[in-house]
Amino acid sequence: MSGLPIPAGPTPDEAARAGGGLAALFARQARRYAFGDTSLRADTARELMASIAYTLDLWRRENGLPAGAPACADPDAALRQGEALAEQKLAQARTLLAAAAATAPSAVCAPYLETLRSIRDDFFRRYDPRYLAHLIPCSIDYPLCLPLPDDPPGAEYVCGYLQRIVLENRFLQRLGGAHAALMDRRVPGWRDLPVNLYGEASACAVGLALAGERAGTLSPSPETAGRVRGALRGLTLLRTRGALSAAAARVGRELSLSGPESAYLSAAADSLAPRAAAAGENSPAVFDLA
Amino acid sequence: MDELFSLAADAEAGALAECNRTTARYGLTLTPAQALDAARAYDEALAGYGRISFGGGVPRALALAFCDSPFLQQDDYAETLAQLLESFCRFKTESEDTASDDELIAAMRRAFDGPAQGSADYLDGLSFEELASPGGEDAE
Repeated sequence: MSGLPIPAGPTPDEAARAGGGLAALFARQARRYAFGDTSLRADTARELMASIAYTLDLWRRENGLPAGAPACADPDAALRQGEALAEQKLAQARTLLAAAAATAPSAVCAPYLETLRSIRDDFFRRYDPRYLAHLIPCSIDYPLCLPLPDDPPGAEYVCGYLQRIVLENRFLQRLGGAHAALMDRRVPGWRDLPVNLYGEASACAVGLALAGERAGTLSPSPETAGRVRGALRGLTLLRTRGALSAAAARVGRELSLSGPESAYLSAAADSLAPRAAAAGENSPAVFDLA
Repeated sequence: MDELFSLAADAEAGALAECNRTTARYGLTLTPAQALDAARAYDEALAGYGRISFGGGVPRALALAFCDSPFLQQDDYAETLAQLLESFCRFKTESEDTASDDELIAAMRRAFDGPAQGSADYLDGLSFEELASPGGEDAE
């Protein structure tokens, strides 16, 4: 985005003017939202204000400005540009939803489907990039293996969520349905439960790689648990992290994962390290190998 | 935020006082003190109903909309205006903001001159549904 003068830094006078400018911006935005009326319920007004704050923050980030910097000499223009950015995020979310649908694994649980349906049917129908850009008007019940922070919200959150779903889908696709057999063994009733499929499958794959076995089958041998125990025995947390990182890299090579897919798997493997280091002789359970 | 965006009562009072030029034709005027009281009553009603004002004009619009009512008298004009402003805030909130300011003021005026026969108390006893439904202001 360009075309707006960007201040170098606020003086006290500039900060005061920015505060007044924000109040005036809110008043104009509220009038537009209320179709010319002069008052709103306080909770609605707060949501409008939160949307303005988020939209200006989106504009700031896009322009490389620090959080809290005055919008610019023309806050209305900054807000309009921020709204355009939120529209772009919305369009990006549509593309990502299509990618998630195209890469969905053969076997999924009901909350997975319900979440994607809610994004399709609720989010895209209700999301308002102009007045309520910070809200996420849909139900996201299917958990990610690596949860997202709540901020940034709005369409940005949905984009981040769907990006991770696509990464998880591609990994599960490469397993050719083996994850369903794993889930049947490990999580009774999983098809109706909000349990992350990637987390279970990736842990098993990393465990198998740790044992020096083929990861893609998700089928541990009778010797797998003992090999994992041996691989992690006596390791510090730091060394456990290293061992899991190396195992994740082996899985990535075996399954021909892309760079982002490998990075996500590495992060997922790293998240297991504290439990694996603390589990001692029970470490195979951390990898669904017990 | 409430304090930041609530329109100053004295600015609203100034707008109300300017209405005297029009309302005086119907024998209705407000002293500066009465205008300020009415504006403050509106601000208090807004706050009481959990509303944020981001622009002025309702007290002025309501005064101009009602000034040619045959039921308004100078003696209780200020008091009636304050009561009407509070009723406006209640109706607005009950409507869940589905009715515009202008629509509400027009409906209040119809009810005030109709079944209320100039009684602000009667008007205040109506629900938004009774006010909004055609002939609904005849509700007992």
